[in-house]
Amino acid sequence: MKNWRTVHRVMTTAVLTAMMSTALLACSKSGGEDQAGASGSGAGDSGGKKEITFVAAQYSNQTEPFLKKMVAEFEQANPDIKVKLQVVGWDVLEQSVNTMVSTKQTPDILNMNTYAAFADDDLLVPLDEVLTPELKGKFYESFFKAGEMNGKAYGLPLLASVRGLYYNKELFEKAGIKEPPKTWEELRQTAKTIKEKTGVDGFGLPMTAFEGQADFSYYIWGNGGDWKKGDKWVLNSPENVEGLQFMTDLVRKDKVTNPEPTAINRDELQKVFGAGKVGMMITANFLPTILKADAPNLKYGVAPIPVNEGKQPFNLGVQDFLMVFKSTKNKDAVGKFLSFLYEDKRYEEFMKNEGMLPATKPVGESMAKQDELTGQFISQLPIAKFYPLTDPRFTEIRLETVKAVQQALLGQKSPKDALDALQKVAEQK
Amino acid sequence: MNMHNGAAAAEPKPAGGRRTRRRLRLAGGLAPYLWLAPSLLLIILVTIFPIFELFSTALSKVSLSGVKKGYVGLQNFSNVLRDPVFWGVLKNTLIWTVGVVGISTVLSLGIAQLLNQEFPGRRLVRSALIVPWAVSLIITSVIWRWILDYHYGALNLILQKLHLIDQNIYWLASPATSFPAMIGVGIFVTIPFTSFLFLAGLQAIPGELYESAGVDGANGWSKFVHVTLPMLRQPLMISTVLNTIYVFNSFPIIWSMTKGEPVNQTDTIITYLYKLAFVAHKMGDAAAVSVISFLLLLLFSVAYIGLVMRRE
Repeated sequence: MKNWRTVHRVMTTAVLTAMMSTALLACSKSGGEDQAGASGSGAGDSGGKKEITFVAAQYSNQTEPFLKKMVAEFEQANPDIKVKLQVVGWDVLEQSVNTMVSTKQTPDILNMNTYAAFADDDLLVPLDEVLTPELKGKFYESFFKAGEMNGKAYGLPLLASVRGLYYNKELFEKAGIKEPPKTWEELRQTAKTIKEKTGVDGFGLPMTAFEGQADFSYYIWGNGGDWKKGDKWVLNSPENVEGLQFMTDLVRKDKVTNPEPTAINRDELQKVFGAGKVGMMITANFLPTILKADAPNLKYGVAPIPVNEGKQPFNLGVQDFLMVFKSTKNKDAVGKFLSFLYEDKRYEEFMKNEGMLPATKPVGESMAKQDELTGQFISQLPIAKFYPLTDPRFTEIRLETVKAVQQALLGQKSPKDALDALQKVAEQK
Repeated sequence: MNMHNGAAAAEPKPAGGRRTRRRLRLAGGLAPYLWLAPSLLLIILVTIFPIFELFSTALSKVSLSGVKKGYVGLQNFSNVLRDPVFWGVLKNTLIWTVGVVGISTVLSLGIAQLLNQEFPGRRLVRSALIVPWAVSLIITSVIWRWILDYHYGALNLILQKLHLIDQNIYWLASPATSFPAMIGVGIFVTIPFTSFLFLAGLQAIPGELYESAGVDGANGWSKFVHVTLPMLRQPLMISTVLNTIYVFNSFPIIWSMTKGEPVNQTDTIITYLYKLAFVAHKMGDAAAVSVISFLLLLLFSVAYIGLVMRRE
C-alpha cells in the first residue's frame, strides 16, 4: 500500500500547486484590473495629466509597434495627456471586452468589429460629442453611415476590407479560359471547365462559422436579396432562396467546388488557393499581402464578384470601428487623440502596414494613385454593402445563418426549408 | 497533512485534570481549522465565489454586451432546454465522455499490466508513455488535425502509399468520421494518466495474493478477475471520476479539430457553451448550460462514489 500512498501524496501536491498558481493568477489579474479601473475613475486628473485608455485590436505584428510609436508622438505633442495603450489579440478581444463591460471597467476608446450591443446598452458616447466637423467630413459616407444607429453615430470606421474574385491564371490558361466570369452562369461554366480540363476544383466555397455569413451575402446580394428590409429580417425572401439554391447546386449538383465546404474556413481555403489546388475563390483585398509571403510564384488575377444575370454589381464591405465609452472623463482628450490618429499621413501609414483599406476619402485617393490593385479595390468602396450590424442580434443570427446554409449544402434540408426555419428563429423575441 | 499535526499536538499529553483536557480538546478542535484557514480562504475566493457568480448569471437577463439586467428566474434554463440543439449536444457529450473514459480505462488496464512485467527497456517504454500527457493538449490536437487533413494529411498519404485508398478521405468533414477521430485523440491523451494510476495500484498488490491464488488453481484470467480487479478498486474509482470530469469538460480537442461543426453535430456541452457565451453573446443561456453541466457532473460524482463506497 506504500506506493499507493505516494501516488496520493504526489497527486495532492499537484492539485495544491495547480490551485496556488490559479490563485496567483487571479491575484495578479485583479491587480491589473484595479489599475485600469483607477485610470477610468479619473484618478489621472489629480496629477494634472488627463489619462485616456485605448484598447486596440491586434491586426498583425506591426500593429503594436505602430500604435506605440503613435502614442509616444501624441504625448509629446500634448504633454497634458497620457494615453494608456493596450493591444489585444482578436482571439481574446471579445472575452476581455466582455469582462470589462460586466465589471464596469470600460476603456475610453475601444477598437472592435461591432458596436451595436454597446450602443444598445447606452454605454457609448455619440460621436458628435468628440469629433471635430473637419474629421467627420473626411469619411466615405457609406462607411460613416454603417456606424450609425437611430440617427446617431456611435461607431467610427477605422479600417475596411472589400472582396474580389481571385482566379488562378495558370489554371485558366490550361483550361483555355480567357475572361474571369461576370455572371453566375459564367461562374458555373468556368468552374466546370476548370474541373474537366485540369482536374482541379473549379471554385472554392468556405462555409463555417468563421465567416460563412460573407459567402451567404455574396449570393443574396448578387441576386437583389438582403438580410433585412427596414426593421424586418427577410432571410427567406425568394431572392435569398434562389441565391442559396445556386450555392447548393454548385456544391451538390455540378460538383465543381471544393469537396466539403462545411469543413474549411476562408483562411484555410486561401492556403489551398495559394497552393494552386482551387481555380477561383472570393475573398478579401488583403489576400495579396498574404500571397506575397506564402505563395510568391502564384500567378493570379482579381475580378469583381459575379452577380446573377441582370442584377446590380455590389461588394461586401467589412469594417472595424472605434467607439468611445460613456465612462470617459476626458472627452476633449479623446477627440484630440482621434484627430491625431486620422491625420492623413499617419493614417495612411497605418493602413499600408495592415494591408487594409482606409475609411477616409483623402487617404483613399492617395493610396489609389500608388498601387493599381489597391486602386481597383478602392474604386469598389462606393458600392460596398454591409452586414446589418446596427441590429445587436446580428451576432446570433449570423451563427444561425451559417448553420442553415450548412444544412442546405449538406443536403439535410432544402434551401427553402433551411431559410424558412432561419427566418422563424430571427423573428422570435 | 495539517490534520495530522493538529492531532499529534493533542494526543501525546497524558490524561490530566478535566479542565486541561477540555482546553486541549478545544485547541485540538481549533488548530486544524487555523491551519486550514488559508486554503479555505483560497477555495472560497477561487471556487465558491465564481460558482456563486455563475448561478447568479444563470438566473439573470444579460444584455448582449454583458450588462446584467435583473433576475428572470428560470427563463435562461427554459430557453436552453427548449432548444433541440442542446439535446443533440448533450447526446454527443454522453457519447464523447463514455467513449473516451470507457475505452481508455479498458486499454489502460492492459497497458498497466504490460508495464508491470519485467522486460528489457521497460523504463524507456514507461517514460515514452508519459509523452502524450506531458505535451500540451492544444498542440496534440492541432497535430492530429494536420495528420487527418484532407489535402496534406499524413494519414491519407500513408493509406494511399499502401494502396488502401485511391482518393483522399475528408476525415474531419463528416461527423461519422470526425467524431470517432476526436474520441481517438481523447483516448490517446487520457491513457497515460490512467495507466500510471493503475500501474501504481498494481505495484501495491502483494505478490503473495497471486501465489496463493495460483496454489488454489486459478489461471491467469481468474487471477485478474478475483485478485487484480478487486485490489484496483480504489484507483479505478479515482480514475473514473477524475477522467469523467476532465473529459466532459475537455475543450481543446474538439475546438481545434472541428469547432463543433458542421451544424453543431460535433459540439459537446463545453464547446456549445463557449459559442453561446463568446460568439453569440448569450451570456445568460451560456451560464444556464454551465449550471446544468455542473449539476450533471456533481450528480454523477456523488452517485458513482456512493455506489463504490457502499460496496466497501
